[in-house]
Amino acid sequence: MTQLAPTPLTVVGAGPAGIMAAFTAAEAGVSVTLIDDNPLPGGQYYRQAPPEFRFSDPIDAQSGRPDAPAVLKKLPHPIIKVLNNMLVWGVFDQHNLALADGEQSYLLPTDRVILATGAYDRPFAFTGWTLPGIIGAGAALRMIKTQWVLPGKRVLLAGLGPLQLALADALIKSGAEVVCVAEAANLMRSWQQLPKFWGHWERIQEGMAYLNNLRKNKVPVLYNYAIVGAFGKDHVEKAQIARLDEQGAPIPGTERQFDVDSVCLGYGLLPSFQLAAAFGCQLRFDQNLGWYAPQHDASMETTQEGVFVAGDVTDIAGAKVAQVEGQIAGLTAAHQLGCISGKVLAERLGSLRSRLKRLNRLAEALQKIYAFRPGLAKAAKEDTLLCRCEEITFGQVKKALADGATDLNQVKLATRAGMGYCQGRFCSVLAAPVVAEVTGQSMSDLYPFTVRPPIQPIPLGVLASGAKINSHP
Amino acid sequence: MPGDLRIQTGVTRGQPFQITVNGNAVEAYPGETIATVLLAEGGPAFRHTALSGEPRGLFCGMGLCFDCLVTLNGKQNVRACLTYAQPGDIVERQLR
Repeated sequence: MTQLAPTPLTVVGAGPAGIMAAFTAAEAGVSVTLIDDNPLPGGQYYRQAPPEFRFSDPIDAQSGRPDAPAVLKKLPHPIIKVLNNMLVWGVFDQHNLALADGEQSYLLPTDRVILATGAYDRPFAFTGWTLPGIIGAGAALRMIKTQWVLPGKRVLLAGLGPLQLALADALIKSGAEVVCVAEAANLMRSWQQLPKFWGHWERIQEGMAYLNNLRKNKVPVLYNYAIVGAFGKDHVEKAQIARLDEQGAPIPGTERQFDVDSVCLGYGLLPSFQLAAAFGCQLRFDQNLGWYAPQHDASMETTQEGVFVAGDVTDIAGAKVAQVEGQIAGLTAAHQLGCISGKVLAERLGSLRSRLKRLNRLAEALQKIYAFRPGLAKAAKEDTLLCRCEEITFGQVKKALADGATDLNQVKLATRAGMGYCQGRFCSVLAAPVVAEVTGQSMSDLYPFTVRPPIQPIPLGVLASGAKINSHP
Repeated sequence: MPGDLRIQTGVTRGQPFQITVNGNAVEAYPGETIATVLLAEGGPAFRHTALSGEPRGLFCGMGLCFDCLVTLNGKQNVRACLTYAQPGDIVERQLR
């Protein structure tokens, strides 16, 4: 491993939270190392198109989002060192980050660290969910907006939340047919949340514009429906949705079938907390999410001193919240490193926290409306794959539980679910409700799989690069 | 299977080049990932799984799920969604 020069502050992830965290700390005088595993900064939300593409509307080079340039122009910065195409795969002694690019491994000593590692599409299991043509809604949006390729020409959207409307809009504008949007939320039960939208006119307008476009294109939007099956030989050809009961479980006999060549699954996002867990940060169970996220205080510091989180890695609340959280983390880290006084910190945190409070009112309303209802886990059947990597079914996990497994780690040892390439990112959230139901525990009692380095698979050659072999004389 | 899934309006791509996918010459554009080229081409799975031989394709699109693995220039299990196509690349869908 190549040893890199020590850095006072490392920010992991160059999305909205990471860029603002790095920029805020750097403006306060901290030299920052900003690490990202993509070729260009922006993260997933402000993901930039390849520089080789040319656009009739210049904003399309910067994710097509009007708010992107304001964030992306913070880089380059004289005292922010950006490491692109670089993966953080572990942490040793709390202050040594293990990195890897395509060629070799590096060790980066760092005093403080801000984890802005973002989120990924929540897996949703049902008969046939592994068929080619079925992709995450976030993945579909990225392919359309940055690679300018469609996932298919006849697309069914199934999921939970406003991202589905944005995706449907993008698909239609790009020439695809959206055959149906199956929204799992039951909006009739959400009217209590409406007052929290007061003042957020821009977001309301955006939603209305999407809905109008869907109406104009005669796209059926079915509320309280979820996907329950997909069929095809080598590629998805048919998709089946069903109406949901009070708990969110599909009601047998209410199925409707559509001919498709692609299905986009948008059942929300899950925090990429693996690096935070590797740092030993305590995770908290989030009721709306039905899953875990790193715990943090009002300064975005985790339960580990000097380790901060910002953005979707801890609060699935979108790019605006992420930016403010990044600023709060960046300022606090700068203060801990002696670059700004306690007085300046308090002043600046005051205004950032009131802005965050206002933004969080809307985020919380959306999280409640689009909460992942426990019954949604019932879309999976006994022979449905739970672990895509090791090809383990729900039935096999139930058998391991009948044979005596009592928690997620024991299920992993008994079945191999969670030992594959994705390292449990997709299967742990699917296994947890099954374990909870069979063992009578609550979801919040089931801590996720233990995280071990490398937190993402890296080739052995890269791991061993530069290693000195001790040979005895 | 649908034809070319590339979006045509609003974007101008560079000069296309050729790569080989399972022995067939296929056009790719600068800045495209291997996943984009395979997706645009349509056609069958990116790979079949080792255990049951199930078809798989692009799923998470951000390097986490490892479903889009292909063999690139003789190197197995390369994530197509993270890898940019280069002129002369030889891609094999890992089918059985």
